[in-house]
Amino acid sequence: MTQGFQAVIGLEIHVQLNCATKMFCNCPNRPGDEPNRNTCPICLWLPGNLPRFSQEALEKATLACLALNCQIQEKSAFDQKVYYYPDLPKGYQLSQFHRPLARNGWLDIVGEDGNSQRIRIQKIHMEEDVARLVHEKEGRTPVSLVDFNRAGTPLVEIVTEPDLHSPRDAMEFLRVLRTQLRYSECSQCSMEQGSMRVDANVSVRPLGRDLLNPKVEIKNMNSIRHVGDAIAFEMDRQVECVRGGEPVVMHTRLWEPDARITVPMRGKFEGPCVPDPSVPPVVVEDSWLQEIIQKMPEMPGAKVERFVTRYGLTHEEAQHMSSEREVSGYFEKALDHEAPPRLAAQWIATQLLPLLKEREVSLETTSLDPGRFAGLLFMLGREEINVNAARDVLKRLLESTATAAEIVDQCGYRQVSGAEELEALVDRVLAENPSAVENFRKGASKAMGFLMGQAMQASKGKANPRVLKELMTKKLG
Amino acid sequence: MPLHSLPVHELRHLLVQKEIKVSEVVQAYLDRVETLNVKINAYVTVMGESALKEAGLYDEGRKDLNASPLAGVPLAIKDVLCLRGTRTTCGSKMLENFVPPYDATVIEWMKSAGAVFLGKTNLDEFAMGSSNENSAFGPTRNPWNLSKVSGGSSGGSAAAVAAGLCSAALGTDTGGSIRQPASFCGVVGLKPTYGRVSRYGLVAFASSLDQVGPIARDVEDAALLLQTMAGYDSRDTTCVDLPVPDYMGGLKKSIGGMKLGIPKEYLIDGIHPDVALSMEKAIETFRTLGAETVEVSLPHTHYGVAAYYIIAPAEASSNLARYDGVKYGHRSTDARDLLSLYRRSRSEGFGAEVKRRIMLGTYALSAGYYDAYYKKASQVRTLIRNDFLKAFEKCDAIIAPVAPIPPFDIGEKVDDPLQMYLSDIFTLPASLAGIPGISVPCGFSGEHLPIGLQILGPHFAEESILRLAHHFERATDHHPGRPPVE
Repeated sequence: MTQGFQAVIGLEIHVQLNCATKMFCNCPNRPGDEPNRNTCPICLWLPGNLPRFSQEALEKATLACLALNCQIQEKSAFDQKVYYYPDLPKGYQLSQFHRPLARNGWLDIVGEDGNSQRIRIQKIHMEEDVARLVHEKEGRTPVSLVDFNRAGTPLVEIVTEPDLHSPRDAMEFLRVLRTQLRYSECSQCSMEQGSMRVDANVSVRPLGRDLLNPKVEIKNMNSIRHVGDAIAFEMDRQVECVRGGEPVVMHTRLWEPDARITVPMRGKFEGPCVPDPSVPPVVVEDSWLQEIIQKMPEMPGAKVERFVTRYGLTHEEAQHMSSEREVSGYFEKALDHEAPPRLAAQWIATQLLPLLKEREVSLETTSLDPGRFAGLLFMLGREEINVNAARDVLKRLLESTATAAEIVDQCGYRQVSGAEELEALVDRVLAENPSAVENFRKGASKAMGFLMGQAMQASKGKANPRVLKELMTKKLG
Repeated sequence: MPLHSLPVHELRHLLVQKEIKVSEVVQAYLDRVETLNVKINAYVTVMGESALKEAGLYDEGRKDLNASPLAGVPLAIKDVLCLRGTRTTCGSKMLENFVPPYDATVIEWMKSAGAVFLGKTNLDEFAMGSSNENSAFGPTRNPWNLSKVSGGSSGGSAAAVAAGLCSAALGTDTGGSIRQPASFCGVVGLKPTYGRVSRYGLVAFASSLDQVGPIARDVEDAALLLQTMAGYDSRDTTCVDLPVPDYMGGLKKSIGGMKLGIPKEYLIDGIHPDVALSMEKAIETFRTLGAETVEVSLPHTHYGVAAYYIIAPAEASSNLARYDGVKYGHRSTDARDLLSLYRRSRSEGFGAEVKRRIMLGTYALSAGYYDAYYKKASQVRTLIRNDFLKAFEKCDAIIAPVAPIPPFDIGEKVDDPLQMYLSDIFTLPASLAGIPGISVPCGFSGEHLPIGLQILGPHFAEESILRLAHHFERATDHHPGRPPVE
């Protein structure tokens, strides 16, 4: 349907910074508390009150900028963005309109074709969040309520260049961006909970052309998936307009998640933007910036490299271990307790994480510390237990405080690897199954599996499969 | 000297010597307010009950008169400074019933220095005006001649000090709002350096210009009040963390050999002959006192009015955006929807001058005009500031008239805002530059109306302009002003 056309997409991402206080006063930055509990004359902006810019907000915003490879500006400043709406306690929003905190950033994503693609970030500026409006009914009368808990929550707004061209790339970009920001620990970045909000600017043009057509801004997507869906819908809608000879005009639309369509949104009464005289210009000294850079954790890209070279993980395994900071942290702690690296990566990704998900706990909240987990992998690596036993031990580890070794002993899972012991066992199994032996020798390789199964059963699951197979092959050969 | 004409430093002497009780002083002032305020309209709110209660604490010995420099002194406060629990109207219908739940920093500091507040004084709505005719509560009249304006926007405070309705008062100055009414009412008014006094709790008009300062009977009182008001306050991040000098002590030092700059650009056509004459006499007086005079140039003075009337309205347009009828302040009763709630509440709540400035400011900031107006005006502001910095390389202070004309008739300029704006020509440049200025009486017009002399100093040179004003005051007989009103 959109064949012959290309979308041009730029994103504006608002990210709430996880500061202890609001941006311009000392109220707790907990928007979710009982409505209007976290307010004071400053964040209600009663006449005569003045903002006090939070140093913590600057610190977290700087972390965000560094995580997105931006150049921090030595001097930035707040402006008053005037508009009239009840979510704005003073009729203007403090936002770095003219002089943003950072410029010229980028993030690399893996494009649809599998190639790496650089998406440029134009600027990142700080601003304060606005109040939350709740529209309800009191009996039959519709009422609008204002909750000022969120008014003054520190935000950064990240503005990309229009470098994205498909819903899929936009979603990929947002996932990479979220990972980077979570890593820098400046925000939880949850679209569902509103700590990350994305507006998409979308226009379409004939493939191969370079022009920028009037864009449409789409708001109200509360998951990355919705961003993709809304962009896809909007592309279709605009292509249809163009094909029907109807020009696309610049305006704002809302994503309706239930109907899965975008609809025009009524504009706010927007006014001018004037430099704010009450918040002094934000000056970032180089020595201070160096301190913040020291606080930056190793970012996912560097981590993947290191995991590959240092621990011998495959690229894919390394990526799995780096996508979330808590995963990489758990992984490396397990390694500190002598877990074999690849085994740890595989077991965290394919065994532990799914089990935790079933139990609705995370790596941070689980009672299974990396030390006990490493104990299990250590035994598995040394072939003291086999894989099946290990899976069971893992489940038991999650439900108790015992060590892996204790559980293994208790359940009698310790693997039999002694050649003498196993040789007798193999002899017995081969003697008991002459027809299978006959089949194998005729070339039916399946028979080996059967014989191995019999031997394993005879050992009550404790036989070391590798040693068992070696013996079996020797005897049959 | 009658009680109501006593300067603060003399009143303090009587109080400490127990020659008079605080409640007697407060009652005497309240009685005078009772009789005269109907004529002058200096007060918007009189706080008789709480003032007498506070006075009682001193007389009963529950508060120590010796503990603090302003203990027992009855002060008036311009009604744009927040005082916890008392309505703060800003001279506007919009805030007619607004009661702030906090004190402005200067109020808090005055309280702890022991001051007793008599009430809140009248002003041009949101401090926008030069005559106090823009108040929603009617104009304040000049105690020297009730048909004349008091000046503005701190007209209520200046008139109250002049008419003996308080011992001293607090005013605010954005483009001359302390200096010009002080000049018109024949009292002393000081606008400190921007950043010297906390703006916390001052309802903002133009935040990059607003400053709080004292209005007093003499220079010594102005120094005494500034001593308490000045200082760093973490609640206002534009406040500068510099030590506060001993202003009172500084007064006594000599002014011999100090260099006074006389800007040639201030000798404009249209300056009233009486003003020009008293300027000449003032220059002569300073020479006799041993000060030298030098001609200086402030070449961008001419653009001051234009730059100010873009920057101040621009800042006002956003500062006043919060008065939307939603949370507090005037709310229209016949709004149908959100937009009409905004429109009607603001149309009904604001007066003509405030609306004019909001529109001027919004226009100057609107898309496509920002560079031509706001940005240009900000550049002019820098040039004006540089003019002063350069001039102060040649002199210690600059002297100039406060206003080009003596107090004018009530109603004379209300329909001609441009003429009204031009009357600020000598006070605006110092505001744009952020430097301190003091207005001190220097003579009378042919109609026997006060004329003020303005002394401007470099940033944070309050001490030297106070000293110059003090010596000038002692060498002349223009103070203490005792207007004929009774």
